[in-house]
Amino acid sequence: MMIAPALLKDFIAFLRKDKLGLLGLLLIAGFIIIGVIAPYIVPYPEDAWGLTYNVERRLQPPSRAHPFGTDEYGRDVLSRVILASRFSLIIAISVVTLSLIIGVAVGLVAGYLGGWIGSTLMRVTDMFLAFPPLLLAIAFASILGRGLENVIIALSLSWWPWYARLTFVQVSSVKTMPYVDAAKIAGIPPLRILAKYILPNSLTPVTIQAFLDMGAAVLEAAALSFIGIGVKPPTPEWGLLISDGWILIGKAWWISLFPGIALFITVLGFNLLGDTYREYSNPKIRRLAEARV
Amino acid sequence: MKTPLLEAVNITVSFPLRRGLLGNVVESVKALDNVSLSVVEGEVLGIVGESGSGKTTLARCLVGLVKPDSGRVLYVGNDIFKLKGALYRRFRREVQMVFQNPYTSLNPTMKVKDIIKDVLKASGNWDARGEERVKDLLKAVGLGEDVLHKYPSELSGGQAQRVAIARALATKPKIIILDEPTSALDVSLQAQILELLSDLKRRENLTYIIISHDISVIRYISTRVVVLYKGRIVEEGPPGEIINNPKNPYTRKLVEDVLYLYEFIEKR
Amino acid sequence: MGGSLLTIKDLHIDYRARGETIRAVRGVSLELGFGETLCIVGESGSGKTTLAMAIAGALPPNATIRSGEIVLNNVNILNNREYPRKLVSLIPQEVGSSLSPFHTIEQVFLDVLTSKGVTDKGEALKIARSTLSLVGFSDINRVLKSYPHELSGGMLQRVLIALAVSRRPLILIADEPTSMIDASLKRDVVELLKNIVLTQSASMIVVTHDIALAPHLCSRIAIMYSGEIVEDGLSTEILANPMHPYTVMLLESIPRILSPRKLKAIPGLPPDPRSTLTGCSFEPRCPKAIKGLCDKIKPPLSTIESTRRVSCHLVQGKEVTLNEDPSS
Repeated sequence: MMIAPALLKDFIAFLRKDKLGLLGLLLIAGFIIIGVIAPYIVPYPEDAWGLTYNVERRLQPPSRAHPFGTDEYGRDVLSRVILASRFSLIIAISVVTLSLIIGVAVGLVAGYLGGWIGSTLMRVTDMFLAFPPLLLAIAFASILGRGLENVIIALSLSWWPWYARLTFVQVSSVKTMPYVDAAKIAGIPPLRILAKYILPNSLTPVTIQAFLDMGAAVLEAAALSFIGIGVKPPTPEWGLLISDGWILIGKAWWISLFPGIALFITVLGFNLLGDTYREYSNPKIRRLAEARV
Repeated sequence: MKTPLLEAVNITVSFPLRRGLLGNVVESVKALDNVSLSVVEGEVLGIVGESGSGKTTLARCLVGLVKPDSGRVLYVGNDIFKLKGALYRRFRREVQMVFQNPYTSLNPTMKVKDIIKDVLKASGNWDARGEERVKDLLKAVGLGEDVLHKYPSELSGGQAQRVAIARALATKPKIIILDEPTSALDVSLQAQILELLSDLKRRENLTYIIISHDISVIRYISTRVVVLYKGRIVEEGPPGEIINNPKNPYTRKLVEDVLYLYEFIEKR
Repeated sequence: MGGSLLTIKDLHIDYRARGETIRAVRGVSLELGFGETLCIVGESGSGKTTLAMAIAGALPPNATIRSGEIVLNNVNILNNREYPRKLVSLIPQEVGSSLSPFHTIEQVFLDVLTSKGVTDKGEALKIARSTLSLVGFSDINRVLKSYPHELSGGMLQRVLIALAVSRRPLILIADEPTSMIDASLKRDVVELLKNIVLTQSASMIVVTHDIALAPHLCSRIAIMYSGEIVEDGLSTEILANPMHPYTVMLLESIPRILSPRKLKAIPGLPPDPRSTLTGCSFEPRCPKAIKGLCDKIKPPLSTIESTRRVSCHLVQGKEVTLNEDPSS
């Protein structure tokens, strides 16, 4: 169990009553579902993948045939926006997973071993944390160059320190808990204690954070793509689509607007759920919330 | 004179209070100061200690979690901090502990059945009959099968403490050290747990070391009492003697305070 | 019985938590006169803390008073949940989190007394000093200049008591003042509270799970079980001669040190606070329960002697009034 089961049950009960939180959950669910089935629902598949160039269909405003209009290559914007959600989903999940793997590993080792190894690892982590994450991501992306994999790597490299620190703090406190002592007294082998007693009890804050961070990952990937060091065209990605339409914003507003809205709604979903979670985990605010209805 | 089963010989434990510029310890406080005690098979040794007396440190030393700065802890004559291999495993099986707060002494992310299964496996008591054994242990502490699939947070305080006791029994121990086993429980639950502990002692031939700040609990269950004050043992003797004829001024004040507070109960 | 300071009639309080409704207080009626002392005794889940918070006007937002009446100083506080805050001081159980870590004790006193209408700083300090002295501090200046984290738990508790007293409340409520502390500290707290009762004219309510201490602190006890009062009366009388089976069994499960005898534990567990019960709430665990009566009909809290009320079918004078035949 990555998240303490009692917590999950409890949070779900709380979430049920929170309309905004439920909206957030809905938006996130929408994002994930569309991301998964995107290739099958795009009206113009070749447009979506960027494989076409139809001069006669260029720069058409929204119409029945093209609800989001067409871009300067004559590609259907709706299809591009839908397919872009898949890439955002891939990026979000990959970044968060990769960062978790690296971060949790570092935090676990540092927290469990403590001493000078722990301090050293945390010092290194702190060095990374001293930089604003986007800046770090930009630095890495510039070195690695454009491309989907590079975006994922660049973002993960800038992200893992947060999870390392979260994990470190948790592990440091969990290893002093009586149930860890009890496991030692019962003769349970140290590796099993690490895996089943320390790790699961340290993961909850960091996995929750990771899930909610997916929104931020989508946003940062879009930012990288927007300034030209993210995904390689013609791969559709919301940030890239926005920047594509940027120079034409006055004449063909639809090219940037719709990807922008999609990005906004997705990030909003994660933020709303994140807000509900923050409310849930703060006892004072939570009691006020429970008094509602 | 029976040979002691578990023994603390002149143990001293200090904790650093302040460190100097180079990390050296400038000031420290002695949690335990030259403490010696022993327990023989079949006894219930009661250790009375208020907060700050060092009782928790003492428990942790006896069970091998904390190594004293000086002195030794012996199990059947062997220094527990030097044990290896089969002897170490035997120590881990035969000496167990029950903690004060069952919610923090049971792994919140494991179900009751897995908590006990892990201990059965670690102590070599898991076989084809393993699942049955888990149920038997729960039954022995007065719990039904309905708690098997629950997480500790889904249990009541009394149930959770019983699970903690069942876990301690899973290794087939000889000695169980109980650190304030009933302090977190209501009065009526306390009585149930004390009853259970008495029953288990008889049935499983156990030896107990029980630590509490509550002298009435110690008096009720112990065969011999030791009074711990500021890291030192200040008095020792049979429970009746300690209560009716305390010699040390601290013990005397403690008994006086309790008699004052609980005069309306004592009179009944 | 005129001149009652606090009258509670058939009070029902519910909590909403995690999507479930917990019936914490299920029909409590009691009275407290001026200058009287009352201990509300119960184990966890009995509803005693909820009751105290309702009296203090300190119920959390997710608690609702479903029905019933609380009249404090002739004011119905159901329509005016905040009113008690001026007249009732609550000394919380958790001493660590009750004071802001950013203010000195002196500042806290000034804050508290200003909202009580004492605007003159000199006057406020005088009151602060006198209450701090009352609770046993000798180095008052040091305490006034200290921040909460610089004081020990015991000292913080005394500061909180001093603060409560300085507000000159009509009712002082102490929530579990003696829990989780060693015998010598318990004695200090008990003696302090006794002293306060002697020197102040306030009524006092002590919420505690330790029935044995009740006679020291209060002249009356109300014993709560599963949200209801099952017995109340004079403390010394109840301890000497308990009538309700729960009270009897509770007293027999407390270990004594002078002439110890076998403890008899109360079997089973208290009922789930989320459920509604038929009949007596103690019936499942009561060795004297009469099937057909105790599990079907809830015993009313009836006056047995002039100073005793008991809620039990078997304690209604000599006769047990039945509507159906017991199956014995």
